[in-house]
Amino acid sequence: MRANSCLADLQQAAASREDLKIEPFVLRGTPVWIAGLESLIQRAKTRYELLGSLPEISCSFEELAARLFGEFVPSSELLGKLLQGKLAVLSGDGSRAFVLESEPAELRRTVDLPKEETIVGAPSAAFVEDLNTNVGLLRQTFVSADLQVEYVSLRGSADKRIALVYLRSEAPPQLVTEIRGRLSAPSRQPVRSDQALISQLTGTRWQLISPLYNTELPEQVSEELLRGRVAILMDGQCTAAITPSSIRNFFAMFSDKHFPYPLMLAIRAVRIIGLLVALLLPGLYVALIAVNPETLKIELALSLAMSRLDVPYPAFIEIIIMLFIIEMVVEASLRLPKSIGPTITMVGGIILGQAVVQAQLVSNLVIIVLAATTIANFTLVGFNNALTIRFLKYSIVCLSAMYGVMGLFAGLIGFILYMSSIRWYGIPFMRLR
Amino acid sequence: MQRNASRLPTYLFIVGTHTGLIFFLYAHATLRTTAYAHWQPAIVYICIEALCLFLLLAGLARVPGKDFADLFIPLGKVASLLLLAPLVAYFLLVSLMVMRSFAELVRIMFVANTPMWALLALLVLLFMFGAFMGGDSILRANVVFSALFLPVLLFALSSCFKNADFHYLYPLWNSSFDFLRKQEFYSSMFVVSPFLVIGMLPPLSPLRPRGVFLTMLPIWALCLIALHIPILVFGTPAARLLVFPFLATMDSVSLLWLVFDRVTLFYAVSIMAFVSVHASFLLWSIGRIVHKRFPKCPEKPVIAAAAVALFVWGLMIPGWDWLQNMLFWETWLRILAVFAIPAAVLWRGLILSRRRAAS
Repeated sequence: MRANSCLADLQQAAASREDLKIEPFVLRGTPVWIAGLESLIQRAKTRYELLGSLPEISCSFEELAARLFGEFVPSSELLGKLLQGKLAVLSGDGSRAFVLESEPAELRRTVDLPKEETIVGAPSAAFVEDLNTNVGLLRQTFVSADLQVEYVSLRGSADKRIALVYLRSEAPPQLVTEIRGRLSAPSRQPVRSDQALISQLTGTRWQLISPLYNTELPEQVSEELLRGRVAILMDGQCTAAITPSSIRNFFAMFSDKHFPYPLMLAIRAVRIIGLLVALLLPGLYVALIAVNPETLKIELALSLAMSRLDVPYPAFIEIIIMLFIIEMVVEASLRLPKSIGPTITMVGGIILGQAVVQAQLVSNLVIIVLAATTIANFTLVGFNNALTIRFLKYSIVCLSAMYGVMGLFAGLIGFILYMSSIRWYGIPFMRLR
Repeated sequence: MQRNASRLPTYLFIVGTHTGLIFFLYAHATLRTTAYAHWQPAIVYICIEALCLFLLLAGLARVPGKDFADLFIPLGKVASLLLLAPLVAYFLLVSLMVMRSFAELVRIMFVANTPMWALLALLVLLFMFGAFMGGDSILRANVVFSALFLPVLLFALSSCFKNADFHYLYPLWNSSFDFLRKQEFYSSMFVVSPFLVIGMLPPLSPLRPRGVFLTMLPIWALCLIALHIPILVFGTPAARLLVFPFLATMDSVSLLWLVFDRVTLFYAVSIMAFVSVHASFLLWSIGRIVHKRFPKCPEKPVIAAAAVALFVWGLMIPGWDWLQNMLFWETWLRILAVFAIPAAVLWRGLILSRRRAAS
């Protein structure tokens, strides 16, 4: 081993990382080198605090480490620690090094209101990107010694830090073991997104329904923890992923409990009806217009037929075109700057609402069906869940175009059978508890 | 609380499988057995079902967690085959009949121009999909179906009473009991058969005989109601002529405040859910039994093969009359399945429990 291996290694590393600064320093009479990434730490403040925390007597390098709560690390791990935002203190000859916490650069957002899940009349602090802050928010929301936090180290340098949070008294031990085991198994791809996390947890990327329920509300997480679930927090994600997800997550939120019980039931009933409307309404339109108009009252059937008298193509094509346009409007408005958003809404509204009907390209009724479907879709809790239903309604539209009302309900029956067959870690998805 | 909650899917499943048949084929099957006083054959059917169910449950209760295959396979290669083969054949026949008659009903109601192969393909795919998902998934799905469709079905049924004339109930007594001498009575006995699926339930969920019997009480009451609805609306002679007495009864109802022209729509879609539950579970049971008897045959290919057989067989049946004939031909199989299987289960249950007590 070379005498100054730590210093030499760091200097070599600094050649291609110009934000890595290594500088000589004298700490209470002992010459040392201090090293850190200036992009991650505040250097001047750190130096000032370093001096301030030591008594004014001369110390050896070991004494310095002890007084500063430093942790000696081998040369091979040094760079990794620095990348986590720590400060390294190297001995004068560069042979040994310890690391310590430093004053971090201000890269973090402060705790803020939720961006996606707006709630009425309930605590509304939301998670941010920093893992420690998020765990802290949970600890603050749920003050109990029962709350367990485990950091899981994933393999591979590009993986992010992950925390498993659960209640010891509620979460079944085999569930926690299973999730921990699956997370620590070798992964095919770096686990940096929910998709990678899902494939790590379930072994497949082809599930339509996610085993994770993402929420940015600590209150929601503590509610789910009480139901024996496990929360997975990933560094850099401003949502907690709760697993295993269940059908409940489509229509129930903790904030519903701020209302009297009957009102809560009513709100949830609205969401369940929303689910059915979002899933079935476009299919029902196609089925009733194109295949089974005779099931409607004759007056209604005639007025529907009148409304699409000049529409040149079948109901199926009509609704598919309009559904795609709506999808594009939704997709476009998600990423639009706030200042342009109203423009798109107006253009979309005028095109969809007025011009298309006046040009007799689609019927009035399609616009009503589309509006109802889109609104119903967003009554569902969780963006992921809404997306699943948005996607699945197309299969039902296709079945309805082929078999009419019978196809519509065959689709619904198939959908329910599919949902009933899903199990995460052996726990059925279709459960209300 | 926990114990009751876990049994609810089982009880609802028993209701679901019966509902698929009671409101679909039961009325026609019972109406053709005699000229009047149809409650008599209905009560006899109920008694037969109660007796066979009692035998089955008494047997199953002695050996918890075992289904037909687990009970019969230890008997040896030939004996197990002799008991299981008719059962599998019978399950296949019931699925076929339910599927083919439902396709017929849908064709009358919704899609007169759609070719039969397309209808059967949809139904077979749906049943196969359900069977692939597994027995416990079917049970869970049935809970959702019950919540969504049972109220709809009951609404459609109750709307029929609008046109009821209770004088059609008379005459109440038929002292000749002529139905016992008619082959129709025996060929219609498939209406009591849904109880056989209970024999496949124990590995999925524990059974409590008392709970099962309590579940059967409303089902039996519904049987009597379902039978009498067409009679109350059309009168016995007219109701006996109808192929789908229920459908015709529903068609006669007109509710002004409803968006839809007829309540038949509600009836048909609810029946479809329960028919799917029944047929999917039967297909899954076939896969299960064959796989247990021949462990080299995996479940899914067996289910797929059964589904293909259903499809081809369904296509080969030219029409409704032929379906009725088929019911006559396989009467012996039905009697074997309905009587011999529960008796054999009881016998195996007694032997196994005695053996366990001795050891």
